[in-house]
Amino acid sequence: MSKIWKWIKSRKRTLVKYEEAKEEFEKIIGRPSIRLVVELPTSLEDVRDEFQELENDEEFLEALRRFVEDYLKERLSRAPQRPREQESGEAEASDESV
Amino acid sequence: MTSESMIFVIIYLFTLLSAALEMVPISVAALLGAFLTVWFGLSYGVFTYEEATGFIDMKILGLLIGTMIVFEVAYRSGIFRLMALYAIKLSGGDSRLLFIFVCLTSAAVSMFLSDSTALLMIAAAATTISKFMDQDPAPYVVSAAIMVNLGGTSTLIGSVSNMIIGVNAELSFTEFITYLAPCEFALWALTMATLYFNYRHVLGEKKAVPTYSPWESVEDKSLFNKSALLLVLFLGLFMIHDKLNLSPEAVALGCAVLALSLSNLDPSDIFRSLDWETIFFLSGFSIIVKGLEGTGLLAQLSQGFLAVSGNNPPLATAIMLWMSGLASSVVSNIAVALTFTPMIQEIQGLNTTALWSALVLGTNLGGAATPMSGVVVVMAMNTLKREGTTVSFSEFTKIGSLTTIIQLGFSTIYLIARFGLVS
Repeated sequence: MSKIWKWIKSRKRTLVKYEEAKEEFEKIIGRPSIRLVVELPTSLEDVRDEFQELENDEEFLEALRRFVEDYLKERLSRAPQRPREQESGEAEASDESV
Repeated sequence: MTSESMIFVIIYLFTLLSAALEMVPISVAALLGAFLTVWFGLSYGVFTYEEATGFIDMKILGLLIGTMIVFEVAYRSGIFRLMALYAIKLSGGDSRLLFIFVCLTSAAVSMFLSDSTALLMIAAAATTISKFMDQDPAPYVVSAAIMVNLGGTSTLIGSVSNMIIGVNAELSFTEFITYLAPCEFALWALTMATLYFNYRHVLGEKKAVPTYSPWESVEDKSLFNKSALLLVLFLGLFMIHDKLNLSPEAVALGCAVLALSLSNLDPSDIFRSLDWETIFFLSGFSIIVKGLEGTGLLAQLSQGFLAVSGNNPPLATAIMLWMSGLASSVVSNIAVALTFTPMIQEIQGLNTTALWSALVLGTNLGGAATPMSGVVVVMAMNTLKREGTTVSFSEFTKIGSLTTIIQLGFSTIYLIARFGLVS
């Protein structure tokens, strides 16, 4: 029976509706996330495969998470004390300009 | 059994097997079976070409497609997401309350949406909030699958098998509710209690949920208001369709046209979102069953059923309930409803309303006994896998079969009491 179950589980199924619904819920009740597109640096044209593998490289992703944390903490510590709403508004504006 | 009958039985069984094991997509299995049925049926002169063209019941298809369109528009308006968001907010981060609200919302939402759409939406909400609260999503998603399977048992539009049975038995929307709603709500309570006792030790501690306004999540307020009004009209018309001399499919298709006209959504986008797999499976399998019916085999099975039950109403009802329930736990409940419907139509001298009600309950309740019982459970398992959590076959079967046996046991007592079968 478990072999039949494994076979059924292995069949491809689209979970598009799940992914769409999850994205909607995450916007409201989940931990916010951002998506970025990083291009291969021109100086590294000969390492295309290695660059693309970074997407699934746990070590790289962990380093990136640490970088985001350190970067934001440092940036917030440099900013003068002011109401958070104003601060986030300005941050958005500066992001847009980038 | 004649050689002609044998061929139709082989086609029928092969289709069931290939659909149950997903050797090919269920729609392909049914369409292949339908093609072979028509081919052999015409070759052996079991039916004529003119007869074969009427094998697909357009009333059921109209009801199914109309209902799907109305609820797809309502789904896009965010009504059901709003329900889920309110359920989470009302729990206040208490995992026990959250569990109960997830169960209730799953059953309520699946009264309207197709089981797979309802499950995917609730699973998305449950995995998101459980991740936020650092909890295991498995108890929520497994319970949601079981409750989604249960929800909508007592309404004509609650599941495809209900539509098949309702149209063939000529049961109106209100008759359906009158016969089955008390049983369904009792089953909700019983099933939730069973699930809660099973999972109460693994539900995590209370944790604050994010502050949010569910209403703010509705992006298109105009579409939301139109959809809400349309749902009220849809349900209102279903409540009185027999008094207005309107057939259920006329109500469904009329409201579908209204939904498409008022929503300003791209109709082709809505049509793409319909569950064509189910529509084609239903169409194909209807042809296969008609082929089987043409050989007189189902009439013989019907006589066999009467002989086994000894014309004893409580026994006949219990056999119908458990037989359809157990069959639906192995194969598609649409196939079970299509097969048993002509059998009940052949029966005379017994309380057929009780038998129809037993078939409704059996075909609905059997769908979440094991992970292989229905597409809803397979989808629940897949969403958990996507989130890095696995629930083993035996783990699910333990809780799924327990809730199914409790549901079928209670339904047996309900049907006997409701229809006064013991004099």
